[in-house]
Amino acid sequence: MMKCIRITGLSIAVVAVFVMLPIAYAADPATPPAGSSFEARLAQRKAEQNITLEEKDQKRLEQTCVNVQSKIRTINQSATTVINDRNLSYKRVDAKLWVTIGRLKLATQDTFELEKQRTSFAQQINDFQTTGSNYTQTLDDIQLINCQADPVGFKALLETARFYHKQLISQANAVHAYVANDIKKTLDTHVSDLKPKAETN
Amino acid sequence: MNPQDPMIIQPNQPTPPNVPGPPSPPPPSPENMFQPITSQGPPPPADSLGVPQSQPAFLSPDPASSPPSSYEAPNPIQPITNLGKPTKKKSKKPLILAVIVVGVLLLVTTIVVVIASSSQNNTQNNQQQTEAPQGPQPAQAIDIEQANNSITQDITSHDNNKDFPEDQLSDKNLGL
Repeated sequence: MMKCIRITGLSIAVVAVFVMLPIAYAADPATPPAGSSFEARLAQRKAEQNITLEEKDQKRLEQTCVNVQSKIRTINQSATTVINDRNLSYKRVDAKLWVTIGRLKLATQDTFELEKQRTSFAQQINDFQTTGSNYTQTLDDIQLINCQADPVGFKALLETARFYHKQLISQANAVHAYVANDIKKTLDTHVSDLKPKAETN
Repeated sequence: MNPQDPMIIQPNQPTPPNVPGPPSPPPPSPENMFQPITSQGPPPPADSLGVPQSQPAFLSPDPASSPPSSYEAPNPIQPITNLGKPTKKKSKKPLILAVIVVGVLLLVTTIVVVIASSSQNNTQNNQQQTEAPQGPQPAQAIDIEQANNSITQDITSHDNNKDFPEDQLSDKNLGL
């Protein structure tokens, strides 16, 4: 009886390892080198995603990938506009923080905390800008590839785009939360410090 | 007909050269035209060089034969110095005109100076107003509050769910 339980457990463990292995093996997409060509980026994404397609999946992909490319074109146009607008807004916020820090220094206020938060905010918007650039570049590559001739490459690029899309959502939410919770709190503290205190006699 | 008659123009006779004669006496000046007749009589006439000549005896009055003191010489003829020139009263119109012109010029100059000084003051005030805020000012509570609200508005103007829908690249949405 115990022997059967051990064999069953061992089998489940082996199956789990084989199921999880492809997912674990797919490395997070890295930023392609600046000035890289389409072929270089495609090779990089294939190596990162390590896609294997069954025959029926491959055939279905060959039949539908052209329609997918036309939808990707529409998504790419709207995503480019949205990302550019967000980058401008974030840079505007960064500039306002710079000016506020300067004026607080002129008022002989301690700005160490606000400067630290401003540095962290700048790093966050820089990461968002990089992710947005990688995302739109991947969508461009999906439109370029001959999906019927290379369905594996098409699938690899599609998975890469999905990864960057999720990363964009995560980073945008993080930026909003950081400004609303951390930076705003620090600014409220400075407001109360600068308010004239009531004379007590 | 007498050929020696000087009134007869003799043909083919050379004309006598013009020999300059003695200079003619200068015309008497208007002031000396009429000399007053005094008890001593008129002054002796002058020769061509202006040197008075002695007068004949019958012309020069003899003091011994001078008329008695009771005799009064006739009123001397007053010299007429300005013959043909009517006397005019001095008109005051040019003076008045000059005063008016000077006054107008002074008035115009004053107005121009006042306008120039006032415009200069305006430009100085504008420069002072534009130059007054030199660089950023120390922050006040209201300034930080406004910056805080502005930053919040910039961030919240973007909707993450709308801009990046989670199912945008799903197989269902793409038709895979």
